[in-house]
Amino acid sequence: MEDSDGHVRLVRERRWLLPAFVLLLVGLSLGSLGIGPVKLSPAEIVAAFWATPGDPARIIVMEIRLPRLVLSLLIGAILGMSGAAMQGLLRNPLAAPSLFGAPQTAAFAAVATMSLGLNDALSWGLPLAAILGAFASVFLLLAVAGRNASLVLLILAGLAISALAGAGTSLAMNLAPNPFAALEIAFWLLGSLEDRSLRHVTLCLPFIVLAAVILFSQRGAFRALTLGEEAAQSLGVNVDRLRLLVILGVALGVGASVAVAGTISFIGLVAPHLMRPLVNHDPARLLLPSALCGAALLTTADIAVRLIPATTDIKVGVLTAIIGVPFFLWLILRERRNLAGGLV
Amino acid sequence: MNPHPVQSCLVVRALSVALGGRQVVAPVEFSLGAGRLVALVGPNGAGKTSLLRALAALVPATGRVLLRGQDIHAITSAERARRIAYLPQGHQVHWPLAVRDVVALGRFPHGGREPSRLGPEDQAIIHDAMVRTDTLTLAERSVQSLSGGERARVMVARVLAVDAAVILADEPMAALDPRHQLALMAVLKAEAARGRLVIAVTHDLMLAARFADEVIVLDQGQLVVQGPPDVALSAAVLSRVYGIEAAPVTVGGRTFQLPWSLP
Repeated sequence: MEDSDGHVRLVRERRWLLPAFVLLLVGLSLGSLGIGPVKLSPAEIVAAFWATPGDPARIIVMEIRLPRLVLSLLIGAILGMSGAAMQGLLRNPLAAPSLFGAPQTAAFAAVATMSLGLNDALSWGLPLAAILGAFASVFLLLAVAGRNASLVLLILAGLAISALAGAGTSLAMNLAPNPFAALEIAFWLLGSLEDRSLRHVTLCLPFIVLAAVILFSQRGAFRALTLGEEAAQSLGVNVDRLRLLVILGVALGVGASVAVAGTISFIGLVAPHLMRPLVNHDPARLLLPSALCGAALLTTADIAVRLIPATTDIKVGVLTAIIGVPFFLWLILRERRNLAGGLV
Repeated sequence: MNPHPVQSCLVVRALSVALGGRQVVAPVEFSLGAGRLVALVGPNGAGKTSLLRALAALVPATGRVLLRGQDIHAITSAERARRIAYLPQGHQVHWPLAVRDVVALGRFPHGGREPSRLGPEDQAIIHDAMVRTDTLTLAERSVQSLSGGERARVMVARVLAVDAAVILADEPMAALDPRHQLALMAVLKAEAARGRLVIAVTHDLMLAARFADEVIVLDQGQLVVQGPPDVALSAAVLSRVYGIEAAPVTVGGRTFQLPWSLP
């Protein structure tokens, strides 16, 4: 909004934001539970929850679609919040875990342990391996880029890490003992929420909750960081500890997500970007709306892959990338002036 | 002027700073009383910023900094943040926050982490800081829409909102027009008059000479001289430190050394 002097005035509170998101997520949840080969109306969905065990509608809702819905909400939320946290830490709207190779490295770690026979797709070792992979990549990224890193440095380091993880994954596929193993690896690379059970929810839930608690607890520090690392430090923020906590939170969230759903990119870039103008660009107030927006985006994408007519199922990770990459290009175009000026 | 302050606010003992193996501040010693505006001057690369950072415990340093008798490394970082306010140079703000929210960050060390949920006392301090820096009318503006002078005032308001005993400001007046320089100097002077110790790094020797109660001259990491402006900023000191010749100018009965020519 602009006042008579042409000054941009800020709207202080948008109290409708959270209730609006709750309504949106309830609507999307009903859509996600109702849409599929068997269409169910909201009334039928509600009835299915109370139906006797063995009822076909109950099996569809509780065992097939509910785990998928819960995963899309959880994973979308933590990816959105991770993106907002990284952007807050690095003070840059183009920062996102997927641009820095975190999901790719997590996928590589998961694939590597699977092809070595250390893990199967439903063991606790899988999320742990993926979390370790994500942690290593984010840690390496920030270590290589150093303090007050420019975006060019971060993107280059991220590119190198992604390429390394990609090469490692290719090697694992190359060395796969049988076609089934290669197929399983391919699944990691695409990213999907199909055919997940409550077991998958159990595998990622504790890590995602922990990640959200860690990242959300640092929200005040992100606002202080708006003034730069020195000023934040002089306000009592322990910047080194903050970096480590953000790396840990992002690694837990991204790693656990990848372990159950494969690589799903760009939610962490898109969600904070959509929410930022609604919270007056405040990096602290950005975290929660970004999580809700990420949940809504991924659930929408997961409904969309069921509606798109195709002979083979389209994987949700493919869809988010197809939408996310042009968005990223548009973002670069928009930020071009800033990028050309202030990067060295 | 009291030559023997009853209690020094800030006592610095054998403080040295090394960056990347190079000593940028040699062991320096000085003490400063409360209620004074101190100008920290010296050529580029003299170690002014490093010294200021060391006083705020923002860089690793050897030696001691005592704040009212207490070693600043012996208190928690939260306590330190409440007692020493630091304004870095450049006045950078990475997101277009509302001015009021930027100033409210001054209450961060006091537990005021959420600007929309500050207590009446915090709000009164923020309001007061904005009144003193004449930034109230900017409160709802985005900080990135401000002019350089407005932004500098907002950043000073943020520092005042910390309500700290010591204010450290690194080139707060850089890139400001004369009117804004004078206005900002008056704000810092007023803060000193309220009993705070204000240390400001500046390259403007005339402003330092006019407004500072005391001047510390730093050159190549060494403390050259500490004293009242007419002593610390004498023609001899300027010649030795900057390698320039100064011309005496008398205004209102006081004589200032105006940087004039190369020898």
